[in-house]
Amino acid sequence: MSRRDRLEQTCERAGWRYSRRLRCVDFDWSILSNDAALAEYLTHLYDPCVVGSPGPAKHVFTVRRHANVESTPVSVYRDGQAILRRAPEDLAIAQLAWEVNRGVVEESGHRLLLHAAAAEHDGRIVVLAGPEGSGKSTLVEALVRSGLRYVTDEAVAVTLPSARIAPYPKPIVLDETRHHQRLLPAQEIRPDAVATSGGDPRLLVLLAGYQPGRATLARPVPRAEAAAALAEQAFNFQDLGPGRLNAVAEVARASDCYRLEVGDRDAACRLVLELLDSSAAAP
Amino acid sequence: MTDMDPSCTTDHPMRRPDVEWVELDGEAVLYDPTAQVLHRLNASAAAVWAACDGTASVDRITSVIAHTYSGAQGDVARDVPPVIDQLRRLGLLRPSPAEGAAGG
Repeated sequence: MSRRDRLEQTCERAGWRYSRRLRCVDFDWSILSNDAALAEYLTHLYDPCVVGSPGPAKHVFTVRRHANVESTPVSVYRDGQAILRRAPEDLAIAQLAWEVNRGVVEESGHRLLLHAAAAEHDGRIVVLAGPEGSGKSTLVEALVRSGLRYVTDEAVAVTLPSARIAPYPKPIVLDETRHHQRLLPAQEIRPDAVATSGGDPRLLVLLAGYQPGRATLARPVPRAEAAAALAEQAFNFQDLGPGRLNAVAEVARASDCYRLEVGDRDAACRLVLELLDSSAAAP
Repeated sequence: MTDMDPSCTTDHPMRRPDVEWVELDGEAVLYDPTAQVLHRLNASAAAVWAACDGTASVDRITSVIAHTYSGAQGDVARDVPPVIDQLRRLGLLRPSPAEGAAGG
């Protein structure tokens, strides 16, 4: 019997309960916990990803609330392996979210996974590609508040060869302070804020860079420049093997491509909406 | 202008077969899986790259590029040898016969 099986059997005998099953792109998971409220909160964060009734999934996060430990009350295990022991609750939640991202990347299979945020409007998807700190999450939140529908803030999963995008509506990670992040489920912005499908493979690719205090502007870039940037930002470009460059090129061919310099979030949001309007009006 | 190996004028430059590449609106993106490096070529360099199939000499490639970019852009042909030299320096072409002999 595996370590995971032993742990789960022990927990089940002790009365722990499974959450509903969730699916993030191709990563199938659920939570087994002795803290129903914490498990419910975690499931709520990923509510658009719920696909089934409570029970074990391919991957199980065991989340243990320790009694009589106030400052570091939570331990987290993934498939029987400890990933965090006796940590503060907010750290445990952030770690679990990180592990889900890791699982999505590990199980991406044949999909191209771009390090990007995305939002959808009338079937057209805006892809905001950029490294950590480029303001992707902040801008995608602003776009969703402006009426677009949320696709993801971390990993754009492109199904090949159609170049269609599979939504990964994880909670939006917003920097509250330098050392504190807030997880915002998009459905809390408004009930219909989450995209249910990837829309048409018509994209607006924006290579985002955050430069506070500078002018906010967008300039068209050649598709080859965008393709190279997307490849550099992809989580699994190496792993895709031969054909990976064609995959990135398919995305670029389906896209109008710009470099977006973000000096101010609201100005950037308005600019993206203008680009969407102008590209929708183009023949 | 970059100094050029005289052998480049007579050899038949050939793309390394494992280097992946795509053409996008006339430009090209290359991926060297050994070095795990991406390269982007502008339109004229992409045309040179596409012509490096091992069947044409540098002179022939230069002639084809000169024809393709005739008129105001005829100067592009002058850049063909340096472009090939640069592709070779980046290790994206198979070694020339001279390089192969030097390497034993």
